[in-house]
Amino acid sequence: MTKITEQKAALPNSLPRPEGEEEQLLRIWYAPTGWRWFTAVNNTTVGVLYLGAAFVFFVLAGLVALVMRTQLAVPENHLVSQDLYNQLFTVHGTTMMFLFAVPAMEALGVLLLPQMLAARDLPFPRLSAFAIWAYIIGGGVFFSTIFYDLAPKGGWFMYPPLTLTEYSPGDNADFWLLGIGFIEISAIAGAIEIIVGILRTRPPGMSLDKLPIFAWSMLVFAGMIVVAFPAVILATMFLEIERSFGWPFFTAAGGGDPLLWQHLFWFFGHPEVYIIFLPAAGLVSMIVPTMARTPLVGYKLIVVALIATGFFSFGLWVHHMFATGIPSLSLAFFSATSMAVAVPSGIQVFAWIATIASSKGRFQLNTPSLFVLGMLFIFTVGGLTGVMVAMVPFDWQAHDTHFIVAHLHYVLVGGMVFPLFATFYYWAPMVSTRMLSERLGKWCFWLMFIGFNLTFLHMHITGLVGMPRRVWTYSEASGWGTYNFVSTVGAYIIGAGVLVFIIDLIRNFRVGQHGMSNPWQAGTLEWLPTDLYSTRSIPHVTSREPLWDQPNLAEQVESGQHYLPNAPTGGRETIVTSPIEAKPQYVIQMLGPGWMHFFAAVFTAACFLLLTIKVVVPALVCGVLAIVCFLIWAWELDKGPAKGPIEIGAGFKLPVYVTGPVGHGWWAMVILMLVAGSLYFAYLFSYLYTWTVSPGVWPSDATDLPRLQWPIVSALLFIAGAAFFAVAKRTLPEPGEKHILTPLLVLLGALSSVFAVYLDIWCHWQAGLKPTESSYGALVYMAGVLDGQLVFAVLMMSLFVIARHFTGKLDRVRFASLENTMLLVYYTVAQALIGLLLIHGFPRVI
Amino acid sequence: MTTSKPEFSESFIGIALLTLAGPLIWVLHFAIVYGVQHIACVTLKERADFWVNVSIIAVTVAALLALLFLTLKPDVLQRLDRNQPRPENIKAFFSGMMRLLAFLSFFAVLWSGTALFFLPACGSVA
Repeated sequence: MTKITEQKAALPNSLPRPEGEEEQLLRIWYAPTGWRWFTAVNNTTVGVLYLGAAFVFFVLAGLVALVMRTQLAVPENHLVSQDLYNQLFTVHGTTMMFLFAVPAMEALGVLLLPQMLAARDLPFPRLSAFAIWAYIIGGGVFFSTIFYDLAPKGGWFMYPPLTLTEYSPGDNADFWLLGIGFIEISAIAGAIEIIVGILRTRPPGMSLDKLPIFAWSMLVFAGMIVVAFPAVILATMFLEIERSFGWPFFTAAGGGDPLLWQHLFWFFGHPEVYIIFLPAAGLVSMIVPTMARTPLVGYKLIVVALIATGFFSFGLWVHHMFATGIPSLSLAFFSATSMAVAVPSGIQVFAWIATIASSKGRFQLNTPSLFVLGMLFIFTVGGLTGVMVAMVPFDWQAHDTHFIVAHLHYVLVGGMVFPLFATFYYWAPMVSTRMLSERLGKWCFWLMFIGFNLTFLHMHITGLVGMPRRVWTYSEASGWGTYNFVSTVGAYIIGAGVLVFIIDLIRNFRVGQHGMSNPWQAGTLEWLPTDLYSTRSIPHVTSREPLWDQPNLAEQVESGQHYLPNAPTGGRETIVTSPIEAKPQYVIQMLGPGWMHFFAAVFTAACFLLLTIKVVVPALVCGVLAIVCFLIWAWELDKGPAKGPIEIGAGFKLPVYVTGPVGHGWWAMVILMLVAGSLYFAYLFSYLYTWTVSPGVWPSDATDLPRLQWPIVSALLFIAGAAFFAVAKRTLPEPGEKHILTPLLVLLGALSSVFAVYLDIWCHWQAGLKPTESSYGALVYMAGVLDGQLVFAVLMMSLFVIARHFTGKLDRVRFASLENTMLLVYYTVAQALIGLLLIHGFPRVI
Repeated sequence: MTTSKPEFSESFIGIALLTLAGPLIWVLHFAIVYGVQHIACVTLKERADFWVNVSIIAVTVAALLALLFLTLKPDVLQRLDRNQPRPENIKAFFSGMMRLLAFLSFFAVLWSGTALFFLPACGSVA
């Protein structure tokens, strides 16, 4: 075994490589074409598809905006009806936030990260592909509702009581709730992939202090998704259940509170702004040093700023609720954080300016740079108006006016759209055989920049003179006509800019990986020569800008002189390194193209969408088919240790199969548990919050509650379930053998948990509590729903583990599937015990 | 056939939590001051002012002292992470990050905590 310190002496390995290695890599990493293209999982293929789909949604939502601007161009206009206008602004906001902004950033993660980290692919390629197809199908159906009068009308934040059944009958709101809920699940799948990818598939030597800033920003981005998205998933569950079954979470008459929705929505919604901005800031932090020909000034400060922004953004949610009557001191806490978050944002802006300044005039003024400079101006204006609306008295004046519309567009377009266009022009040569046109790019920039400011700069004044948001039209006497007309002209100029970009794409963008390598003379690894298999060999990294600091690295990597220049297992593989120092630990065996992730996405989408229109039986059939697809897909995941250990170069001989906390599957499972934990935390908040609003609907007498023996039995069953699994692991047989006790214990463990959930729900029902009677009843049964969905997952996974045992794929060596199931079981038990304590204990102590 | 163990392993959770100590203290402070204020104002009515004031001052002072300590003594990270041998550049990177994050969090806690001196504990100035 080579010691870590000997690596640099051992690499590059200048000995000639055996013939046929590169051909084997090309064969293994082929990208399917024709009708099999749907099975593709290569990050470059699905990444371009993902980004392309997000851009299509951007264009569609932009066209919707143009219709709205045309309606508002002159007073008392009747181009569209009031009802259609409501649908238009809801679809515009929802599409831009959920179908464009977040997916575009995840798409860039899928597309750029493996190349930036010189990994062959992200660790779960089919999970990425599943997330992408789920998003495309779900997003496509959601957007199409605008064409047949089924689009939601409640604004992108869907506030109840407006969105409750009595005020929003029909399926329009349900399309938002189920469609967007489904897309959020897709976003979470992508986030898990990105976190594990960044922390575990970096090239040897790329310790965290050498991680590209974009990867840091994506790490924070994905972490924020893990914490923030579950809150809105829970909120959409509450609202859909209330609309479908009448559980009164938000109805004041039943002890519910519409403000609960606002808390949950904005706990997601405000971090969402930073979820969009931080990766864009990461992209800018990659482009600026290249164009300035100098390393980024303040690398550590920028990392700190990204992390601090990620945290502080979770203390801002009430700044969207300043006008709801919350006590002043509470508002002050959120106002303080709103100002605190400006500090790390400012750090990044000053670091970019300092980097440009330190280039001493070498800064290249090309299309990506122009978009970056445009972003600096626009985002800074948005940030300054953000500080203004963070002050409660000012916010009360500007609330729900066009001032806010101008502010949010300055933040989001400056903070995300301009960096994205810079990205398009900067990184296009990585996946295209031709660069985009500089001439058209500059036209695109100036049209967008001028058009944007013409649309939104004076819109601050439109708002300050009193024009409210979301109005269909306005009277001539208001005096807002000129402002609105100029805004509409500006919007069409933005549209012209985007059109120029589309023309540029049509003329010059040709997917392929044999174009110019490193046309910008950048320093990071994504500019190494690549093919279908990513880089020919995986480099040993010694600095933050390896292509600037390690001479001839590109040639060495391309001629296979670094790690893993071949495919020792005969399949798709990449190196897994330690999370901090990036030392080689093992080689991951990955899945290639397949149909199951695609069909799983199709059937999952069908299940959600059929439920939306209340076609229950076909929806359930699709749900079952989706589960079957997942199980077939998962069957191939655990390939076992048969092909290892293998040589990767520099004397490293690595295993191809590990279990426990070292394994990437274990990491993914732990992150999934964090998602579930965040969702349950949001539930606990909802329970306690609703109690503070309506303590009168909580039981005043312990005799109204189920007897204590039932929750105790339930808790014991949960604990017994976990114990069965722990013992089952000890009974695993030697390879090639079977042991009937193992599957029996696994089954008993799963059934114990199922029965425990059933018992808890049953005891409340027997005590006379109904979920439709009050918010208390709804929240009590909701705990059962949340535990029940986990227990259902445990049951499915347990049956899967049992099947693997009987087919000889589960033993003392190969037990990753059991280990992952056990992790979920332990989490489920912990969550259920907390829930039992709250549901049965809290009403007894108040 | 046995599972091979990697030659190298390193602990991650400990150093990550230590590095993020500043923002985590801010999270804790924020949750306590907002939670205590909300629940006390709803449940304690006229006695709420006293308990809101006392608890917010106590929690804010404690949080500020902890953050000040992390800012002034960043080598605490290396002492707590001593079981894991790490290169000097990694230690310096993480302790530097911890210090800067604690410094930023100090001001976030300070701004939240001092609001108490300017506004009523439970009422609205609207």
